Amino acid sequence: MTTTTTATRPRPPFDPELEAALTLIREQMPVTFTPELIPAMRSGFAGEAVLAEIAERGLVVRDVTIAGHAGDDIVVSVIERPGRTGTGPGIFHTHGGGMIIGDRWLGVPMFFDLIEQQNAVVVTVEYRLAPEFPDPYPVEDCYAGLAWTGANLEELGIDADRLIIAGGSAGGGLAAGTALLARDRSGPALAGQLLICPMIDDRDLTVSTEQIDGVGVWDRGSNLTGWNALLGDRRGTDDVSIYAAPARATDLSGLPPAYIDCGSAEVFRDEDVAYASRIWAAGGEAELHVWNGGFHGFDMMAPHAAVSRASVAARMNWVARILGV
Amino acid sequence: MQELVGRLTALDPEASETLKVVSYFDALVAGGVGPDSLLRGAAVLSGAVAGYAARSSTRVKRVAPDGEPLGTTDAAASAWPSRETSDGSLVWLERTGPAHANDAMVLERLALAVAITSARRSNTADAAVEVVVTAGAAASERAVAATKLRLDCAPDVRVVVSLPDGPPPADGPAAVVATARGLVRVVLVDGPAVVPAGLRAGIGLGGPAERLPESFASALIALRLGTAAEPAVDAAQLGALLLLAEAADRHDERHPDASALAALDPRALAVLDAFADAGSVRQAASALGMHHSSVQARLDALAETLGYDPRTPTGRTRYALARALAALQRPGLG
Repeated sequence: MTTTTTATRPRPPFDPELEAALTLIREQMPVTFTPELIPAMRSGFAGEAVLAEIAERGLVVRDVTIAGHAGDDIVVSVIERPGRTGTGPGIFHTHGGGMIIGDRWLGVPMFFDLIEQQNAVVVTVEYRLAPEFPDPYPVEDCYAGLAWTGANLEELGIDADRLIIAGGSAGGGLAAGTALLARDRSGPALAGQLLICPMIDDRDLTVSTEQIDGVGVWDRGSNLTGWNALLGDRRGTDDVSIYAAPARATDLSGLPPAYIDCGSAEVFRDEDVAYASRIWAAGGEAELHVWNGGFHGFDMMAPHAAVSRASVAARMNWVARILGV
Repeated sequence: MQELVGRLTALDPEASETLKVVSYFDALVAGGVGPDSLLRGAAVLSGAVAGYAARSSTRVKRVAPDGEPLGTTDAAASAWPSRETSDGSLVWLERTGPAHANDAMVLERLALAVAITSARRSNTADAAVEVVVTAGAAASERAVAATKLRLDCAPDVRVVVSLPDGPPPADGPAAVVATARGLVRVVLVDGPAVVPAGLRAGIGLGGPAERLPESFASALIALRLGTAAEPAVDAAQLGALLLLAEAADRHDERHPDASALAALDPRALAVLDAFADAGSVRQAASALGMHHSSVQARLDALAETLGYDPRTPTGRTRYALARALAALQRPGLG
């Protein structure tokens, strides 16, 4: 036996149902996404499945072209009930995909019940992706979409005090960054920020990133691929804004109530827990759930598992409380 | 690669995906989950509602592919494709329309996993059996388990293994254990073991209880060396072949001699086996019901293909080893 191999840190075990799901997931995608895989990862991404579900539910969509970062055109989609009257809650959605893949439809279906049952309106933004459009394009495009939503609340039929921002993974990081921008630019006002396993720290310094290296979903190497695409040579240096990497923010006061969740066996665990702790330290509101044995995105990839169902139920329960439904 | 953010979907309705089904349920069993998780697994893999009725109660569980628990129905009155577990419970899939390619396999593994789970829970000796044969368990932990099983003073105890869906191969404390090659039924036998004729089984080396992990390893090798002609193999009878098999098993790459056999058609293999077992062309011909000159001709041709002549003393040894390696290279437990 040689001792030249680096000892890997022990990590929390995966939930047994998720471990079983991983045996199938492993056949469909590599553990580590490298920059060369970005084009392949983007292929096959389309809103077709989500648009089909929208059609099946009889919801309506309209696309609006607005001015994004630097005044360039970007698209936001507004999803609502057909023939909708009155007002209701609004959800401004920023999709996930490691800052490098995905489109505005990704993750949106979790709000369809709210659209149907609570007269809610979803606005989802097609922000531009790294590495072609590095920081600050993604977060500034997201803020532009939120600012447009805030400026058109009446026309959109959204109650002024019931607009929340929501996103998962990179979308969670962008939602957190956009909420910081909204705070520092004095608007639009947000009633809550739903941060689902958010990607918020470019520094690669946590225990959890060491633990989830070459294992699970969206491992350390994949995460570095995403951050390097977004920040280039700036990643890990002092030249990164709190809006790109919200974990770097030292002042988390004055933010809307946050919901933060993650799995105990994912790279983002420690940065997400720390973000909640710092919100509390600043006297703010945060609800934190760390799901035992969860890998990144477990409740999206294996929604049938008991831990996934508990996670989704807790999340939607918070949304209902925040929106006062 | 939309799976990065896509959800786990049901298996292909038309293509057989046995390995996926087996590894999925093996992972659940290794994780020590309960019947609800097993049902959810069956439902998500098949894309159909999965149901379970325990023998001991009128309790019926049903679950949808999204994991949603459903109301109960009268299991006895249902006409769904079903399977009885070895403990008398019933599992089924509520498939409307034609069966999918993997339905039978999903039901089989579900039934097996349900039986293992309920056995584990009803009988604590089960867990002790698993500990006492596990090399990874601490020596102190294994000693406690051996005492619990009253095997701590036994001088000649061995592991007997068989495939999990068949009957137990012997009497004694038993458990179904997850291995890297799949689930296996484990029985601990104090003294010599005799297994029922015709049952695929592997008999491990005998020794004191603290050496049961080695006995387990040798029993698994013996099981994997089994063939239709010789379904039960005793590791003690393998002699030096056990050593060679264990060494060969540590390598992933196939030995060329074993690959050469794997490439032959079954009739050619039958001729080679008959000669290896009989030791003479004439007796091999009689066993095969062929004329001895035909057998001679086939062996001439096969010697050419293999690159060695199995009729020479060294060739015969080489063939016997190649045959053993080829058996070990079969997927799973062979």
